[in-house]
Amino acid sequence: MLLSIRRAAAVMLGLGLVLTSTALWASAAEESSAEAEFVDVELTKLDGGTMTRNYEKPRYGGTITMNREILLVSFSLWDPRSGGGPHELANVQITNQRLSQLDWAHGPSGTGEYDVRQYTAANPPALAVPMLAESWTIPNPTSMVFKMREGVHFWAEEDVAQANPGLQADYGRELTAHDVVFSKNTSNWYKQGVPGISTYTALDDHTLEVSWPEPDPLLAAFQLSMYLFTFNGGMANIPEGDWGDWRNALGTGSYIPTDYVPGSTVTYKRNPNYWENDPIHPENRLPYADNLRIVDFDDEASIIAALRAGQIDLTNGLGSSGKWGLQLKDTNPEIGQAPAAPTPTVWVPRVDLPDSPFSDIKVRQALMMSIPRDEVVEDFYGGFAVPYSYPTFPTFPDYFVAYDQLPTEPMLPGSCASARDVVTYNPDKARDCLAQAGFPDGFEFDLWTPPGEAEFNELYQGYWNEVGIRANLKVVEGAVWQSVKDREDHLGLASWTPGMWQHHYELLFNQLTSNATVNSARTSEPMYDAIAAVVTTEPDEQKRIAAYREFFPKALEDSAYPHGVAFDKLTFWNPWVKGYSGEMSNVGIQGWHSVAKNIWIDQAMQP
Amino acid sequence: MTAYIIRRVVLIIPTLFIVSLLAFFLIRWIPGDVIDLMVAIMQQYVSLGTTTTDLVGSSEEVVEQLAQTLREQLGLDVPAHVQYVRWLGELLQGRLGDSLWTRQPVGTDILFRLPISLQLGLMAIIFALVIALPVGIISGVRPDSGIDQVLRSFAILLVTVPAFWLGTMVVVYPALWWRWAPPLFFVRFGDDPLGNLAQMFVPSLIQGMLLSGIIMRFTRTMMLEVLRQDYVRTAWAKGLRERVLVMRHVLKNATIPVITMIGLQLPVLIGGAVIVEKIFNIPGLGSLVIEALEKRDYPIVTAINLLMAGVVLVVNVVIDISYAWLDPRIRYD
Repeated sequence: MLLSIRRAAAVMLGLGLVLTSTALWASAAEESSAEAEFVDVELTKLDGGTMTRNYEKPRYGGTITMNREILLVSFSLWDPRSGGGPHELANVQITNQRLSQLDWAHGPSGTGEYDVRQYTAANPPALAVPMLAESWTIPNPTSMVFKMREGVHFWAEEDVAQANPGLQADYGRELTAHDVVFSKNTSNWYKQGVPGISTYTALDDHTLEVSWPEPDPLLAAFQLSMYLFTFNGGMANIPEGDWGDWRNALGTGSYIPTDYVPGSTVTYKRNPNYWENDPIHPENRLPYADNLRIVDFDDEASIIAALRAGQIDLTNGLGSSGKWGLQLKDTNPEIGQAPAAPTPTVWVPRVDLPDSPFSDIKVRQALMMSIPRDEVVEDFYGGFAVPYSYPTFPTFPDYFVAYDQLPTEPMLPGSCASARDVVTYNPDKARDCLAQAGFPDGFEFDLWTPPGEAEFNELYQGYWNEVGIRANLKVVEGAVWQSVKDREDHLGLASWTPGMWQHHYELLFNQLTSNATVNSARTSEPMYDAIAAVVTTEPDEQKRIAAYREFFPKALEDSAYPHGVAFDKLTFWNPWVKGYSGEMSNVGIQGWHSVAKNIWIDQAMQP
Repeated sequence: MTAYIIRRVVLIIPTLFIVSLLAFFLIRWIPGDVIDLMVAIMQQYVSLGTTTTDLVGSSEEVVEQLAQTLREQLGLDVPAHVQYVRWLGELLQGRLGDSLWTRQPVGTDILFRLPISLQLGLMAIIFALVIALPVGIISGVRPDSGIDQVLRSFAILLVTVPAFWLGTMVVVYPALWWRWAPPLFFVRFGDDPLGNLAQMFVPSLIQGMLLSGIIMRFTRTMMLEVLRQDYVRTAWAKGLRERVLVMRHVLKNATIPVITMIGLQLPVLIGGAVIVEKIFNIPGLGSLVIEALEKRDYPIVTAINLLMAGVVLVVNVVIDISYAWLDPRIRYD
């Protein structure tokens, strides 16, 4: 009896401790509001006008903990030559810097003129503001001249984790245009020919010329959104095998690595000599937090648990973030969330193979029309999705043609539905198109999907089944799926979520033109090459937009890559993360971790 | 005995050679290609087919040029048997090759992760033994009693609960209900022993619980078998107390097969704790091998397979030797 009483007391004590700690956390959260000091800041808008916004006054100190963005990025790679590849972007986005960056002051944390989703894009160049380059000019159609910022120094020897004698000359040295040229010429990305024909020349220490042989209105913009991160020319003095040692990382970035646990954690400390001020609070030198920690999480349930428990401060890039977003709204409304990366759902056919049913436009249109897009958007994604995003996203409003502006009559030979029809749920018309294509009883096909995409494919499988298109779902691991999608002569479809399209022409250039190297569907329609020729040669942007808008409904009607809805991947952050509104990056491409320099932590709230 | 040990150790070499052949070629023969993955990732973000590239030709030609460049850089442009001979040459010099993705030596990564997996595995075994042995002994000594029924049911429950489910429950629900989760950041033992043990506690307990179900049942069976032996009956007849009899005469003999089983579980615990490592963010060999498999990082997969095979072989020899120590009747000469 006595034993039972003791046990009961122990259980009560345990419960009491848990409840007390929860209460303490909650009271700490309340305390923070008492400490908060608010300031009015006058911000300059894009049109030159001003607006005033009330901010909690930023405070220095603390540690920011983020999970690794779940893309194919890797924190295990430290060789700066690899920094050009987006999958290898993880470390360089923090340690090294580019010529330009995205305009934080006009994004959601600033004037709000660019929304979060728009802000993810590398283009248009209007979003680009100086970083290592102080300014730039476009003197002629085949070159750009960058004036390099003076006074930007590589980290000092005493600040790095372990100094390398071979890099002695670079520690604390001012970054020059010669470093940019060296970085470009040694980058694996560029050496592999992407994009190889631009030439970088250091006219002097602080002037960089980038040139290319033929006038190309897109290339100028591309230079601002390129993948090149600048590192020190002195890397040439150390042995090849040492380039990938994290202790030899040397940059100008806001955080310096202090520890690296492979497969687990990277820890950084503030660069005490960092050069950049907060674009919203210009009196404040960045970064705010003393330390930054990136945790190499992979398991989504664990990431969300760590977020709820306050072990990580912010997270991004979860494949099932829509589902988590709905849950967190109910259970943890204090956790901020924003739709960050629109992700299209695409199915890749082989339109060049006569035996493939999907080589017939009518079958692709039937597939499209059997999807109740509005229902999927609302019921499956809780509203965090758009019904269609093909051939470009609504986040590029100049280029995107809205539903009510889509033509109602077919424009392409062999077509059985208009552009508006293909994104309108109409199972009867879908069956009719199938019959016209010679499949009055429907047909069966293989649908290859990587495991992460199986769930939504099951949903679409059900809709297609209703009109007689029977998909055999083949869930295969990523490497197998990749080979099927790009290499094999398959007669079915390969599911694909290509991530956000950075650029309004991305699908066109990467998937649709006859020489696009990710032309997995093997399209060869002349209209794709024709529009590509126009937008790469027409110098007037308004004319490019007009041509593209004319092309848009034709591409949608053709649906060379049939597609479902485009869902948002969400960014989540705890309430003690301040100065952040869900931005996905400030370097242009998937450099989400780089936002750490702009945000600050309310340490009183942080558990 | 010495001759036996030498013979067993020498036999490890041809076995490892055969394993190296399997480990090297099988991963290359499974569907999916590392070059396809690399090319696809590069293509996904930048248009290779526009004027922004100096690679020329049709879509497929440009892909092929890029793939060929990568193959040459990674040494995959020669037949697999030539790659094997090169790799074997490196292995004989003590190198396990470089990762295809990070271009860093595989050995460095494995050396870092092996002690972490060993720690997780050993802690799991300790937890398993702490739970399983007393319960197995009690169950064996009191067969078919009420307590035996309860304990056996408990053992079956532990055997049937999957690690991914238990791990996920432990991580997800406390966070949902109490805003608490087990520590999910890895801390090196050398940096913070208590922090390290705090992180390893829950995952190793989960692993240990799952293993304990099997050990518990095995111990019970062996206890029952040994308790029926003549020498035990003699001991009873001599009037030995139950505790002395069980602890001194029965347990030692009953644990011989149990030790074999635990020994064989060790490599599984070291290299196969994939799910627990993923859930609890532990940078062990299990998570490394699964990442390498996903990315078709052949040198890492091959090296870990070879290592695990080596561990199994060595553990087997050690187990066989331990028999002689546990049971004086066993002689290898």
